[in-house]
Amino acid sequence: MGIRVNLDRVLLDRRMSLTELSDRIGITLANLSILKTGKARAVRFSTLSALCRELNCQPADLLVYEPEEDEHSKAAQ
Amino acid sequence: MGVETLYPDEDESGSATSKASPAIAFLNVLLTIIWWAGWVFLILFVLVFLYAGLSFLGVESLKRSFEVTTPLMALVSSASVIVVALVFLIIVKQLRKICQTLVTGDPFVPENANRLRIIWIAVASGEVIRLASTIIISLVSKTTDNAVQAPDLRVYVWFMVLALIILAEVFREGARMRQEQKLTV
Repeated sequence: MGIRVNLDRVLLDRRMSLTELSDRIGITLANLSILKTGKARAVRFSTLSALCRELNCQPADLLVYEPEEDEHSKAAQ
Repeated sequence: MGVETLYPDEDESGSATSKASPAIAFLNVLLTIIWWAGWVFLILFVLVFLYAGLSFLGVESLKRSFEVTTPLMALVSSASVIVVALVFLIIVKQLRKICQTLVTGDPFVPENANRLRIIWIAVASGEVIRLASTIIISLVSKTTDNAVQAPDLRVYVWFMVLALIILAEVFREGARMRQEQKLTV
């Protein structure tokens, strides 16, 4: 998928651990790990909102669009 | 709406924890009883098959016990019943496994779709075998008056097979959606 989650970088900037974030927003550590490792298929607006609130950031700081190889070739054609 | 309310009772793997309801526990017990009863019937019909086989092969003392039917007919009948019993056991085994996933609280897994597929294949095979054995028995029957009995085509069984095919595909789609939901944070 072309969306990369920058949660680890934002967490590093805020000097916050994943466990602490998990406690603050009430999402299990397992689910946050799924998000952090890029395995998540979808993110709820409520989750994104809670993340932005606790990390004091914008959705764009957390999510980055990176076109995949085949999308690059399609665009070139 | 708070985020907490979206994740009420999720464990580490993300699946909802649940305790088996009395209905599921009852089903489990019922299936276990049916499972062992199936084995008893299978063993019984294997013994009948062996008995008919021995008398068909020429054991005179056994041959005398066949008055209404012939050893060959008994052989074919018991063989078809053994196959049907095996099909029945395959179905019960799959149902027990499906019930087990109900106990663990997550029945929408791809394995259950495959189990339902095994069940419909087993039901269809059992019906085909029953039809074939009916034809063979009517051919070898000693009471027949040259007229071959028309096979009894049970339409409702084939409708059941159709329903099971649809159910299996619904389960497959359900399992896919469940997997997607698991990966939604």
